[in-house]
Amino acid sequence: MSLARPLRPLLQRPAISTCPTIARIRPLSTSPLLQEHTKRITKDRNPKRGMSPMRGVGPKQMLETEQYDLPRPVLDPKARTEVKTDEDHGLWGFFHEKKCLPTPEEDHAHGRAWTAAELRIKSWDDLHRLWWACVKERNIIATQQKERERLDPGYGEYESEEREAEVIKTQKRIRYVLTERYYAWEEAREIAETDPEVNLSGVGQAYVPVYEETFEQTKA
Amino acid sequence: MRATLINLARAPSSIRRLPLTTKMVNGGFYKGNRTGTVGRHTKHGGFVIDWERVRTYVVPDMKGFELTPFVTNKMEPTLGRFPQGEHPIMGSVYLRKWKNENGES
Repeated sequence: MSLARPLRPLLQRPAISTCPTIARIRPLSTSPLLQEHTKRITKDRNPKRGMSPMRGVGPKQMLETEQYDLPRPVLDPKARTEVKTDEDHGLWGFFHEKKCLPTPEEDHAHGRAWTAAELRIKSWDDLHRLWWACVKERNIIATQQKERERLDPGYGEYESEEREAEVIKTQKRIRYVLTERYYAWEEAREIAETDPEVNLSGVGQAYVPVYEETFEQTKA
Repeated sequence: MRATLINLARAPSSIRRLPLTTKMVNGGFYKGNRTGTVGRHTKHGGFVIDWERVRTYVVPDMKGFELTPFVTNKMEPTLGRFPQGEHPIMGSVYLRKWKNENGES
């Protein structure tokens, strides 16, 4: 019997390999996008495989911290390295003169709140900055109150509350003065629209005073 | 104080008569806390922030600012004094001061 293969008709698709000993993956499509991810991912999804406390076999994956030795605490306070802090760090704004808690005498040594009359003569910039000075002072007081909760010294709360009350009074009076000024400005603007001395167009001087010649009226 | 009253009236019948708080009803009751809203709810249950309504705080440059929240106790509190028939909210007073102080610049 001859082993010659019969001639295939041209309509049939030619095979990649006719040799039966070489096994090849025959994809259904030859487009490159679909060629990706054809290789089977073989991953050991069981991280506890082979672990045995009885046989002293630990996990395969070593923790990152195991490459470093355990730190040894320095028991002698004199041998410890000094922690360097920035003298001008912004967080020092939450403390008064870098101290943890003030004594009641220090906390009581404050003045009185600003009055509305004293605030009325101040400019917007001054009032704005004074407001934020009050906010910072209240932040310091709040930090001290938190420290007092932690340490529980048993005193100092009364003076702290008194101090905060004065700061709050100042803040309230700042708001009061500013609202007063705004209402007055609104009214003034309405009046200025009919005032001949005021020029609201935005071009040229806003205030054009009209000087009255009073001595002419005394003429006969 | 409110809390004590509720503690005393913990019986199911008594608490029913008190107004609801924000801590009651699992998701079925909303009560705001006077902070205002920062946007709008969408019809799909989401929330869109309106940045125009979001609070921003303008902190000024405090360099060289020496005023403190307190005034010395040695000074008597200054009281506001106004002429007869005038008060700080009057527009005419504001306008007159503006003319005198700002004036021709």
